[in-house]
Amino acid sequence: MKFQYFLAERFFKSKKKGFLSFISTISVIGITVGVFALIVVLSVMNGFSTDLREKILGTRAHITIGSMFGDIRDRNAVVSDVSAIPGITGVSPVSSSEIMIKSGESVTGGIIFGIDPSTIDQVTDLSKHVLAGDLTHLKRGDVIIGSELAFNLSMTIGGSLTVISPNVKVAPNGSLIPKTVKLNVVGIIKTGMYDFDKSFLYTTLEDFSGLFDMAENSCTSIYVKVKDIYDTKNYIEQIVPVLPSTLYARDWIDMNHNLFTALKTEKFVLGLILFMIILVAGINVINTIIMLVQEKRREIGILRSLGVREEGIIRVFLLQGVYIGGLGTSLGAVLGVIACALIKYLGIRIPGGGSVYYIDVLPVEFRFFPDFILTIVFAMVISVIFSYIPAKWAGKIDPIKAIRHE
Amino acid sequence: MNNNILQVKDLHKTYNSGADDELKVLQGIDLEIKSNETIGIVGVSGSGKSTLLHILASLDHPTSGNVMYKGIDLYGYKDKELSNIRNREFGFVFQFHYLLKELTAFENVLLPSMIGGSEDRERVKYLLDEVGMLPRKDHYPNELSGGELQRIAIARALVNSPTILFADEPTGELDNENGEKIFSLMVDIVDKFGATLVLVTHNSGFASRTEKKYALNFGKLEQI
Repeated sequence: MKFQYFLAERFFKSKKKGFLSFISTISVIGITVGVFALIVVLSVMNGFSTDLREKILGTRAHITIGSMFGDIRDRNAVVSDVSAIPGITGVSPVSSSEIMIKSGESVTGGIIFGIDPSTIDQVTDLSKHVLAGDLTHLKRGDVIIGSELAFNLSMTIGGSLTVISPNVKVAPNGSLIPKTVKLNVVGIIKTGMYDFDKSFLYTTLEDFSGLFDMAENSCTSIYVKVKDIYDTKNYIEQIVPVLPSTLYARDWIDMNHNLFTALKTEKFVLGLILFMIILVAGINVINTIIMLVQEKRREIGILRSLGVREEGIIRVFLLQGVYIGGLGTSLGAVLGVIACALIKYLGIRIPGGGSVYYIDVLPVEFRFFPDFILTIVFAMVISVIFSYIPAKWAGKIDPIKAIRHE
Repeated sequence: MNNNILQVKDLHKTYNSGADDELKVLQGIDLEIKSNETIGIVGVSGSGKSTLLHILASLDHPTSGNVMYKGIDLYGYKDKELSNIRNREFGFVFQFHYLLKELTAFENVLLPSMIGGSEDRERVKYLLDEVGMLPRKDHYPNELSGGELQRIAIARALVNSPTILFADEPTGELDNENGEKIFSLMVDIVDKFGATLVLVTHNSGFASRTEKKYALNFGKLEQI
């Protein structure tokens, strides 16, 4: 065994009593807490991001084709052309618009979607979220409504509601009358996104067209599903040339850009704050090594007289920092991984979850790379760098002064 | 044939503790030490004996003058080479044992060997046996007496078969009986291993038992 490791290990293990041992323990705990917190917080942020992405992609398309002038006129032709592009796994026409909903004395706003029941499953996971009813067998006059909307309207399956369109017609007496349609509630859907569940209704494309006086074979958008959700830009490049010039295509990243940027920024800021904890713990490591060097001054002198070079002394004390950092990082990493596993398997409920927030339980997604690896590397690098400063000082100690020092 | 192992020429050491406060500890020391000799240097406390020993042993730098080891200026070496010399060619016994409290007696003696890149455990056992400490090889310093600790310090100094053993008041912390035992052990063992002994002491009795005896007075060295 190299003497540096041998001595470093003995110095590290020998500190059983006293203030130095207390300071060392604080240093180890500091790094443990920093690493633990960083791993857990980054994993929870990953969980939030993934959960949000899955929920958005479950109800919305990977790519949405829209028109600059409102409606897509010949939807069948567009569906056919886009379906022919390699890598496109599903295409479905969808119409949507804001409406008013009336049920008994209750009136509320909402967003109605006109869907093609036979193809909607190709592009979204909406069917998976239907609590009662069947989205793929939706008929004219039927509607499936969000769970929160149903709750607010005290609506159950079998009931009916009136949808009021912003389109108006002129009555013989000259007054403006909004167009309305009565729909039967045949299902309840719960996507887990509170905003969606409190305002979304799903009916057939035909009912939607009737409500908004749209031409046959038209819709407001076409949903496209692709093989690789992170390669949507490439698919858009292939889709745009087959579209009429009045149509455009946007992917899910663009359409939710602000949301994902906010999440990314939040993760970065939280990560930065927690890195600061490790940095502060690193300063504790400096203090610990300084105190250790001070305590071992005479030993340093003896070692120099026995032929240990300056580099050898530096290495002995650098290893102290590596041991402190290594122990703290290992403990933090193990505890962090255990905490992530517990959060995942115990399903910790968020107070107000599902109503205030879009999720019920704390999501967690542990990422070995880059989050876990970077956290460990950062903690160790900080420990080594911060140990090097007092270790270098130890190497410069004059052996004679050290031996005489009492 | 010149068989000087250590040659000192016009050695000066001055400490500056203030602008006008100069302390001239060593003033033109000349000394020649031959291989396998035993040298005793005596002087009162504060006469500069330890300073001279530290300079001879490459632990401290002279203000001026030369220390030639095997014909080469010791202070011309870089830290790496000087450290190698200290590890392989020089052995030290100080007034206080200076054993590392975290290591057992065996490990303390083994340490210079480890620093040199080898781990001659058999030699460590042999030396511990020579100084009568083999039965206590697994004891830590706080479990041993002053005399026992100094015995282990002697074994540690000899583990790498040094050419020169520097001893700085090796019996200073011991009572007369133990001091006598340690001194005799050191002289015998140095003689047995054929090393050179440079002993610094204020005890003229011990110094008189060396082959050459010097006195350090007012920074000057005289053979007596």
